[in-house]
This record gives sequence, C-alpha cells and structure tokens, in this order.
Amino acid sequence: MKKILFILTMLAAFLISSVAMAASCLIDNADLLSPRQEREVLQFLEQVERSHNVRVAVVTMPTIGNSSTAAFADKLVDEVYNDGAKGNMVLLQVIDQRKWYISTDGKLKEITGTSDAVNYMSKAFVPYLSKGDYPNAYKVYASKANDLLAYYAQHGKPVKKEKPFPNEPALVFALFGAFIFTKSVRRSLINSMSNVNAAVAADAYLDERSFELKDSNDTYMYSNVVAVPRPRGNGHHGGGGSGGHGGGGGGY
Amino acid sequence: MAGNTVSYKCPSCGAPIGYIPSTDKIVCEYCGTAFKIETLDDIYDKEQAQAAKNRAAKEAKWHTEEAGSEWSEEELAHMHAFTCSSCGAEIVCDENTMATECCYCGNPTMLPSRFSGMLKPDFVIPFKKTKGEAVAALEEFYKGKRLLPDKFTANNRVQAIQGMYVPFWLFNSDISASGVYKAENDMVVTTSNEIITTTSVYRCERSGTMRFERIPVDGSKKMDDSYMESIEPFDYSELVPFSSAYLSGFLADKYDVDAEAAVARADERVCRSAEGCLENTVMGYMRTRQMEPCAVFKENGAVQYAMVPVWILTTQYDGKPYTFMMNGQTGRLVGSLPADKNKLLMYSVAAFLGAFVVLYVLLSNTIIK
Repeated sequence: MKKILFILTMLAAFLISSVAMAASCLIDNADLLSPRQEREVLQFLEQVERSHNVRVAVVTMPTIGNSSTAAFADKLVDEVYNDGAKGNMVLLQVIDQRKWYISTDGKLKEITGTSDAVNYMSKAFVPYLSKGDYPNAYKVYASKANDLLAYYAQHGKPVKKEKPFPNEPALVFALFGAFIFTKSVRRSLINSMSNVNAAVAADAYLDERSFELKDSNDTYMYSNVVAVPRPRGNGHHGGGGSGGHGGGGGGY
Repeated sequence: MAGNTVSYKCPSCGAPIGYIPSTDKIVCEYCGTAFKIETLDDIYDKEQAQAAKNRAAKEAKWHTEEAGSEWSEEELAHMHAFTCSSCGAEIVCDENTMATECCYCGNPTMLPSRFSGMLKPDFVIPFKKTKGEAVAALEEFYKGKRLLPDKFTANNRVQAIQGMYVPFWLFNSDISASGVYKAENDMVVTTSNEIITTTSVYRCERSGTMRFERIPVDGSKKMDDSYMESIEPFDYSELVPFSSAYLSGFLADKYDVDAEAAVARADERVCRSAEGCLENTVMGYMRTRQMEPCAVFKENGAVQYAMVPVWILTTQYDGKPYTFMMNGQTGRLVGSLPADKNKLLMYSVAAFLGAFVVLYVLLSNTIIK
C-alpha cells in the first residue's frame, strides 16, 4: 500500500512539473540534456510519432524512491502517454538506480513490448547510456523503435514472427551442445563395436563372508578455510511486462 | 642438544617442513596449513609403521612351485603338438584331433611338432557350450552393430570357430591388508559478503582380513589378457580333476607364461580388491581417497593349474586380425569388430545436424530469448 501511495505521489509531482510541456515526447526531469540536445532528440521522437501515429517517448527521473522502474513506467503509459492513435511506448531512465525500462500499452505489446523487441532496442542504446552519451542513446532508441514499427506496417506482423533476430547466444549454445552430443554419439557407436574390458580387480573371487575389519583408526590432521565473495545479481533482463503492458528493462 | 630439528613432509601439500621443539604448532610455509606437533609426530610414526608393513608385504610369496604335475608316459604317447608357421603358437591335441588353422592368427598352416615342456594341469572345466551355440552367439553378436562394414559379415567364417582349452593359473589366498585413506568433510558458512568453506582433513587407517578363491590368470602370451578377463567369471563348482580324455575333439594351448610370471597380475587384482574393501569401511566423510598403496600380506598363497574351455575365432579384415571368444562354460561372448569410417561419418553428421536444430529451436524459443 505504501509503495502504491509513493508511486501516486511521485506521478502527481511529475504531472504537475510536466503540465507546461503538455506531455512532450521528451521530459528530462533529471536535466541530462542541454536545450540544443533536447531539441535534436525531440525532433527524432516526433518524426517517429508522425510516421507511425505512435507515441514514442523518453522520460528521465533523478529518482523514483523505492518503487520499481516497471511500475513507474507502466503508470506513465497509462496516465501520461495514452493519446497515441496506434499505441504508446516510453523509455524511462532513473538516474539514482542507474536503471532503464521500456513500457508499452496493449496495442504495441506484441510489436515493441516483447522481450525480443526490447532486447533488440536495448542492445543498441544501452552502451550509449553506460557511456553517458544520453542524446545518442535516445536517438538510437527512437531509430530502433522506428525499425520495429516500420516492419510491422509493411508486413502486418511483428519482426520476430516474420524474421527472427539471429539469436547469437542460442546459436553458440546449440553449436556447443550439438558438438558434445555428436562426440557422445560417436563414442557410444565406437564403444558398441567391442565389449572387451580388462578386469582391474578380483571382486568376483572374493569370499564376501570372509572379510573382517580388524582395525579402524581416524585421526584429525588439519583444516583448510576458503572464502569466496558472494555472487551478486546485476544483469540486464528483458521481460514481458505486466497486466496489459509490454516491455522490459535493466541496468546500465 | 644436537639434532633438535626434525624433517617432515606437509600432509597437505607434500612440501618439506621443519619445526623447533620449543613451539607447539608449525605452519607449512608453502600452503599455509597449520599443524599441532603431536599430530605430526603421530602421523610420522604411523607412516613409518605402514612403510614397514609394505616392505614385509612385498616379501610374501605365492606357492607357485606347487601348481601342476608331470604327465605319465602313457598320457604323453597320446598327445600331439602343432606349431603355427606364421605366429609360432603351439597348440596341443590328442591323437584323434587335428589343428587345422591357428586360432590366434587364422593361418591355415600348422606344422606337427614334438609334444614336450608342459606341466599336466591339476583341474579342468569341461566344455558345456556346443559349436552350434557358439556360432549362434557370434551371429547374434554382429546384430545391431551400426558401424559394422557390410563386407565383414559377408566374408566372415563363423563356422571356423574352434573349441580350445586355455591354460590358467588359479591363485587362492587368505590375505590381511592395511591401507591409509585421506577423508574430508566440508562445512559451509554464508555471511552477507562471503561463502566460507572449512574443509577438515582426516587420516583414516584400516586393516582387515579376507579370502580370495581361484583368481584366474591366463598362462598364454598369445591370448590377450583383456579378452580372457572379459569372459570371466567361470563357475568353479564344475571344476574337475584333469584327465586327457577331456581334450578329445578340442585343442589345447600350451602355456608359455609360467605361474611365477603370472603372479604380478594376480597381485595387482588382489590389491585393487583389498583396497576397495577397506575403502568401503571409511564412512561418514564427503570425500575419500587413498593416500598410499595398501600393504597386502598373503597367507597360504596356493596356486593351481587348470584348463578352461573357450570357443575362439580369429578372422582377417582389411589386413587386421579380429578375435572373438566365448566362454565355453557360461556362453559369455566377447570380441572387437571393425568400424566402417563412412558409416561413422554419416551418423556423426546426422547426429550433429539433428542435435543442432533441436537445441537451437528449443533454446531460442524457451530459455535464451
């Protein structure tokens, strides 16, 4: 309950601060861009909006408290960016957490909100975020969103179904797995040609009842101590979004 | 006091370590492991005692001189010997049987020679499996072998399989064994920053007694040991005193590895089994491994000489001999078959493509998105 109240408070503050901008496609509350950079980025975003009748927005926030980027970005789509004729999507960047999140509404969920689509876009713009080159990060985000929307407009299907992105990790794992499998098949086939095995022991000739343990003595000698740092999870993750939303996010 | 520094090896890493008696703990400068002096003294004394046991164990011997006996004049008169002109194998049979081809190399030229230089066996296990059963077992063995070249089965002479008695030395002994094992237990503690694993290491000494009955070691150089061990075991309840009458219709190999020469192989197998028995009693630890070879003392190490029944066929393919053997008592058949390289390549490519497609589809759609 506290979390929801916090999100609502933050959104209210955000809405008040953005009334003057009339829900512009670019709201830089974290003050990352100069006025000239803002104009350039906005030009990019508006161009995509005009081409596809889809709101493609960028919002930067210095902080969102303890609330999650996903919940905050979904609220933005529901309550701020909800006027796109063919759909709405927003890239939220939170400075203090160094996290980003792309949220889409239900209309774009299958086009730009799938994990494939988010991965496709994030792979291109996250390196710029990491370097602090924010103008180019937002331009690349807009450009990749434009690619996905253009493909859908031309083919009537999301990119994934018509032409899957080459899934490089899957390709590498599949090649490695196939290589291991082939080696085991080869070994199994070759081994099946012979059943000759030298006997290493004489267990078959041991009279089991004759065994008698005469002496048993255990002595403690020493101890070794090894300490390793605990692994910490801090990776990028695409996702399917929640409720009627699509999207995904990660760190940079 | 002279000589107050004693040299030890670190039980953890094996590096040399030294200590001064006025301290109560020493630390290995190579691996950093700390030891109590009393613990090191105890380990050192036990190692000395174990080494003494090992030396004594090496001196314990089998009574190989008791194996076999001499042939009578009457028996000798009925025995014939044949020598292979190709590999030199000497095959023995009775006067009514002919060695028509060498069972080791497949050479058809067997030259008659004078029978001599062979002890009379103590025991024999008579053939129970017939030639028909041996042929059927061999044909069954070929089935389901995907890499078997087509030409091999077309040219194979399964009917040429021969029954032969193979000389074996049987080793009996009561033994006492002692071994030292290193055992480890881990305790893992997780803090907010680290995972700390403490491994406690123990020295576990075990000794026990056991009895081995009739461990077989073949007495023929030409008979591949791994083949003979693969057709084991034999059912010794059917072992009977040797009579040359059992040779009728079968060949017999003349031993060229005497009992003394076969001892090493018997010792090796006894030691391995004794080590396993003792190691099985080291319980309550997460990991166990042997620290040094077991000391095995043989008591009443009796050796017997026996003939065991084997159906054997050697056939040539692509210039190489391929041998098949069947236990003439139990019917267990072993052999090695040639592999067709083209078939192997075909199956490998098919397996790779099939696995790649399945894995790629599976991974790209479910696990790695």
